[in-house]
Amino acid sequence: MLDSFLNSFPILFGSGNFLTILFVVALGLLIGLFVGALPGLTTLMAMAIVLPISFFMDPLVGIPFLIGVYKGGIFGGSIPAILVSLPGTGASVATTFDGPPLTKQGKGRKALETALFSSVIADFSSDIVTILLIGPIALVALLIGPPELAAILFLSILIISSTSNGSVGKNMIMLAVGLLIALIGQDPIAALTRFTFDVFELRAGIPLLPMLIGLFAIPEILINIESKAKQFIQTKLNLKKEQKLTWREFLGLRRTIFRSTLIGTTIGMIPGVGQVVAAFVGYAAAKNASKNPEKFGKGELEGIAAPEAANNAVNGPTLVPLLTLGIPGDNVTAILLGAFVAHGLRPGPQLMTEQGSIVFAILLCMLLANVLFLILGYFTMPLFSRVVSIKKSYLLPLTIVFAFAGSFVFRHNPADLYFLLFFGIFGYILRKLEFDVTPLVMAFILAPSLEYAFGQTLSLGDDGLIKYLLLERPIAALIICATPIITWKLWKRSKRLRDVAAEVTSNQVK
Amino acid sequence: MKKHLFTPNLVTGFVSILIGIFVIIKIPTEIEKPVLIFGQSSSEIDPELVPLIVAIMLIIFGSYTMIKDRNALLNNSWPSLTKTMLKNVGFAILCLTLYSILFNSLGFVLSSALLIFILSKYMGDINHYISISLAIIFPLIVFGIFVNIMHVFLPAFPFHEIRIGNYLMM
Repeated sequence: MLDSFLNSFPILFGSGNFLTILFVVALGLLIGLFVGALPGLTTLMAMAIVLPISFFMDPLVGIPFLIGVYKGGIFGGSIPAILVSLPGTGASVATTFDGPPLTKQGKGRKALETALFSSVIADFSSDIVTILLIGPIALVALLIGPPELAAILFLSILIISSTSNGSVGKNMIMLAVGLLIALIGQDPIAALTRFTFDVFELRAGIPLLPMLIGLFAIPEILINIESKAKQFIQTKLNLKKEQKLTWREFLGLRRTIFRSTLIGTTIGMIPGVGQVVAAFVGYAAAKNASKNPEKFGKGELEGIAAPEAANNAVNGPTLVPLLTLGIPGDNVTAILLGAFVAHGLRPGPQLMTEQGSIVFAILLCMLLANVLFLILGYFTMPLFSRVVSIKKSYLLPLTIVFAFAGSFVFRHNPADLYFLLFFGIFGYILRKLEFDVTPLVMAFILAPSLEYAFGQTLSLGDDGLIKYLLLERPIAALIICATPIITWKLWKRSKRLRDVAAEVTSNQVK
Repeated sequence: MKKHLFTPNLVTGFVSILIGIFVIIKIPTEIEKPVLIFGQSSSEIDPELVPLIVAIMLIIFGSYTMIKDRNALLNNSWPSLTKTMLKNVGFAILCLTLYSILFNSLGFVLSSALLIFILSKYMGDINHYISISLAIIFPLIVFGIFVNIMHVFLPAFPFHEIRIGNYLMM
């Protein structure tokens, strides 16, 4: 594993691609900042739409491009949250508590710089933790066989479903629907055709890309079209004239940033919880630890640093289960999984041994992206603060065109446009019925691996499955026995974290 | 709180159960039978097993939702949609459906230009010059990026390919 890590440096810096990588990461950051700065459009949507572009790049270029969009988008969401009290993404809702009061006091620039520096420091630190953790976890993952893999995949989709937003029953229905959609096409064991209803387009199964773009991008576009508002928001701020963050003020935030980084990194490792919860928990922890909690909500810089550091610290650790076990922890990592698979890199226990150097090179790109993020974020802040006033009557039709073109180019199949439309409408209905699509997407992605591992396990335990598991695969048996307890504990924990988030929100509203 | 007889969550749970039953009914006819080689099945496991598990999951979780989450007012934002909102979304879906159909027959650039112009006009508050310029320029840029830079296929203008030098423009 150490060899893979050391080999990643020449792959990244020695290749002729290095300047291209820097360029596309910068481009990704700018796209992410742009979309994140538009209230109503999320990072997830941006990633879903640009995903097909990454397919036609080298893996070492395409995946860092998506990571750039991701990082830029999370910070971009804080810009309207701070300036006009409209969170660009869910992760920046907690930033609306102290951002707008600071803007009213003429400290908008200070608040934005606090958000930027906290985000970069937390993101950089959590990426280092990710690089340190991924090697040992990958070594353990290598020891597992089909029964253990089946047990872990089953446990993962249960955890993701139970910790996603909304009621457990509805999440479990989504899980079952995801598995049902994955049944269409051919089974992964004997390649037998199933549930195609003699429709030729269904014989190869449901394509992942139109499904992802349909479920993540089209519903957001339709929700924005609902109100037909003239533009996102009008603002006439001039950040160039405002005061900047001083070194003294920044030093005063270091404890808060450190605490929130720890919170975000820990939450990032729990599948399905994500940035929104991390931001609220970070905010609540900063308020509890503060000597002046009464200042929170009235324009406190710590109230910006805490949620921003926490939500960005989630970014790196969510990649650990993805890269070592092939399990995406949230929707963003599900999109990244799509990119990895399209590039012929199948995340899972074998990836780190077969392509470890490339994986570490991609992780190093994340560190580079943070440096670029700091530079670009600092200099483009005044520009992106004006993005909030772009008219959506211009922007949304352009987004649709890009989504359709992206869905089409991967297979050149007109049927993919109908799949995109179907999943777009389906996703919109689900959003309105307050279903979280995360379990559906995760189940769809993990179902073939789960079914294959499950089939192999049944085959291996032909003479008696329980006897085989207990005597020859005790770890798999242990995981299966512990599944209800682990799921229950994580469900309780995520519920408690969400209660903290809800409590913080209700206190701020009061 | 006023109790509703048919809440969306109740219907959702019911639909989930129906899908589960439908899957069970369709299992015998919609799953290809494994080939027998020397009397042995070519598939290591019964191909009907996993679909059956999924169908049972749909029935169990559908029943749970019908009983536990039936109160739509707690877990639903559908009732807050006004007629105007539904009309706007309906119009957008109609545009997207027509766009999907015309994408191949009219070519990417022309169908996209029409979509951008119609949708931006419908959403209102636009400068017509900007709207028309965007409708013409943006599809050309996207087409140029995908076809000439990334070398992937997008449907060109069906009647006559327009080129400038080696570059396909639409």
